[in-house]
Amino acid sequence: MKETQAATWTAASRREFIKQMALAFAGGVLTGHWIRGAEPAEAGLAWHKAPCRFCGTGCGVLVGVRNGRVVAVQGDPENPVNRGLLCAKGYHAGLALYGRDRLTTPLIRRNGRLEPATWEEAIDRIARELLRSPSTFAFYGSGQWTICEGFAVMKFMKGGLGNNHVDPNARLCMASAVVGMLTTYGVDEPSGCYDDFDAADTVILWGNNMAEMHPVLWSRIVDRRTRGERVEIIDVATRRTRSTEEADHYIEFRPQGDLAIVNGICHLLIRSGRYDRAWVERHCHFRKGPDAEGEPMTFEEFARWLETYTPEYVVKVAGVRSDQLQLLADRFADPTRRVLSLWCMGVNQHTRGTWMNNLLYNVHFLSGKFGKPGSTAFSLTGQPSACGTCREVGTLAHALPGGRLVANEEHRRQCEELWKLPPGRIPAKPGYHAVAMFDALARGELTGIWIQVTNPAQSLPNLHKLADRLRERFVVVSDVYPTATTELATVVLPSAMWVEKNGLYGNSERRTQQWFRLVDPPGQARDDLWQVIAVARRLYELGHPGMKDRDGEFLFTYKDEQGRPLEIWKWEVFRQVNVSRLMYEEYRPFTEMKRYCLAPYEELVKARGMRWPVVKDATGRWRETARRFVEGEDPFVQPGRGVEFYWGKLRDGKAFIWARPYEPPPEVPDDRYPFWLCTGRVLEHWHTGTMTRRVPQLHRAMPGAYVELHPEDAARLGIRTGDRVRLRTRRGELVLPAWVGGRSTPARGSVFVPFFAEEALINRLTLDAFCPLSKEPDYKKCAVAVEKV
Amino acid sequence: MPVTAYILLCRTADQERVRAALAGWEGVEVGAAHVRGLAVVAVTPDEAAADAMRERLAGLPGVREVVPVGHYTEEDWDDPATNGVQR
Repeated sequence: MKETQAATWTAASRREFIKQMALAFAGGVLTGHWIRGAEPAEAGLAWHKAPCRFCGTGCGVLVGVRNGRVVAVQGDPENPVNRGLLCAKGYHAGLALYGRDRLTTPLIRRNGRLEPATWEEAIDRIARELLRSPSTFAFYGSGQWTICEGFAVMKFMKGGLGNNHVDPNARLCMASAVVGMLTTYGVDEPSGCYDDFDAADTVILWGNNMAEMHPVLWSRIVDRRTRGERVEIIDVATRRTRSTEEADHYIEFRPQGDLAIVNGICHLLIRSGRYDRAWVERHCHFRKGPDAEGEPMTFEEFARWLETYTPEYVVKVAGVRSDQLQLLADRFADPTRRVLSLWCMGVNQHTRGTWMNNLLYNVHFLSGKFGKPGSTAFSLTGQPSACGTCREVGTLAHALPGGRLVANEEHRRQCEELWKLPPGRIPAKPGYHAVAMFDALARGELTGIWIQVTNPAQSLPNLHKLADRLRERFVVVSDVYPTATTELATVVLPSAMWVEKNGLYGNSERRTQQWFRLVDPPGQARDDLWQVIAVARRLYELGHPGMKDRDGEFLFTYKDEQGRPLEIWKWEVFRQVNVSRLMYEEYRPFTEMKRYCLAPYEELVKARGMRWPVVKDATGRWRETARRFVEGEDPFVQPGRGVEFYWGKLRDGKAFIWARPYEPPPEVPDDRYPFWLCTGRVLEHWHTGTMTRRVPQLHRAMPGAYVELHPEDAARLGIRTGDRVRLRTRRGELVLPAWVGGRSTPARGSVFVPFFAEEALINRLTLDAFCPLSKEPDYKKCAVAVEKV
Repeated sequence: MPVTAYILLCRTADQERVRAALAGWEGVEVGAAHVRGLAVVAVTPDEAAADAMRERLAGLPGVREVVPVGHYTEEDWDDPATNGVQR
């Protein structure tokens, strides 16, 4: 009956139906009175939950599917992350599946050209190359891997090939936050959560353009003002952005000056006696030294060390005004004020990114603004599963799943036991981190690489030294669209994307979210997870000993309910089995070793994500944790401790406050290169634009790269919007159209260029200097010459 | 013809002004109101017009932010892709 009715609808009546449905939905989201299932049903249209494909916020979306295609996307009102809201990228996520140039068949380069091949040929070619030199092969992935994709690669590489050369592109965006937390309180990932965004009195953005990079979380803060709440926003940045438009205070600093600013705040707090002595004595030790280990120091020594950071010194080094520094100190000194610090790439992509992360914890610890609703230091994440996959699974050169380290013999033994591997299979030496990995490829020390879910030929720094050498190596690229990296590939594997496969992501606030496959991938595209298992199986057939566990069974052996092995290396079997569920349950025991304790799969199916640690309470219910290390919230905190850093290095429940000095940038403007160059993202495009540029709406809104200039600099150089401008650094040059007085305004003497545009590779110009602790490159500052063409 | 649902974040005091401004806009309908803002849906001839509509909404006096919450594009689904994408 319904189908008949639907078939006879005119286009106009159907449009009116959709319009009223959309209006009712928006009203429900707005008023908070949306009732599950209350929206009118339309024939053949089914709605399913999923996390958004794009950033690390982890918004929930409802995906509308009809006749095997995604036909609509709306925010999920039941998801506590976004409560029905979406950004421009999120509500176009469905369209990103349907670009005309989706990769739909495997390709192998023959005589310099990529030609169609069968899956059998492609898998065999990869396996034989791996067999030839398994120890000189690397795997490069991303924070867009699902949890199980990352886990499978770790098992394949570290547990199977005995090779630690695995690293993700998260090295380029989150590594400084990871090492910052490890060196501060001994374990990765934040204590706080998005609930703190609703409770803070003051939000401080540290080099963070949230309005464009995390727009839904930004709306969550701005929305509070609309409700009449008083929430102060302080934007500490090197560039006026859309976030600045909503800020009460804009504090512009000289690149790298952030190190001095935070030390300056701490100095003022201690000098004036307006720090939280009791909190510090109860929860902190002091540490000095440039590395991750450091040496103990006393509070008095720390206070003396800070005496360098007088307002006069900070003004000189960082270029801020003393009253601005005092304003920041006053906010932290006010015992009743709830202060939330937020940061992302501005702090992390920094040659002292780890130090900068340490310093932000310093100021929150000194002021006791930690572990209380609205008061915390919170590192935002860039990718949808940078936390869930790269950090929790540990798809890093030095790591193993669940916070384990390859250099630790006991940790290796634990992982070998859980993977049923013979002892000694996992090597002790860490592999190459991202930048070093591609350097080793260029030098020929690594002979091949498999790249999944990322586009390093556009996103790595100082690109010009890389591209030609990569062509000489064996490069496998799994992706959904042609990219700058597939241009260099020997083998291209067409991948399934987002809701074309089963998956799990983990977002910025420790929330693990699950979704089911909703539609089929196009053509011959197949899951990245299957690709890894298929190559492993081919290696097993070719006799590689690492593809067997200690009992002689294939490494990826999973069994059905009757105990029969599932032949999941066969695509037709893989598609019938939820391998994601099987592998996730294999992974969960790893997460218990460092008390991450992820929720069981079936709980995640029912929920809109759960924040770990997730443990059973006295009633037998699985309970998530909003704030880690906080008594009454985190089940691992002992009664009476208030806040307990139970992975603190000294095992006494305390964290470190670090003496980390100001250090000049690795490259500064001079007569020849007189401007600062900063790079970054834009609202409309996801990273290198390979998906969002296939969405016409997003492409039209932001069709190409540009260089932003300060109006005074532009006037001095005779440059107007639209003029062609040549940018030149010590590493390369690029011509771009100018944008003056547009969306953002960089500080005088600096320019900004987005990195999404493949035809304008700004990373040919950027510096590849990196933080020595996190190995994360600094994309935010180098010296550049600017001239009108 | 894409259908797009938005929340316009605007103060209660500004809502009447925003409603009045929207009254004459073709394809636009205002739904529920709340202290946070207004629910709005827009039907536009094509995606380019949808882009322009969003910009127009963002430019209305009193509107602090335009938050899209849903997008229905089924009728245009055969023509997304890479028109104009330079590679």
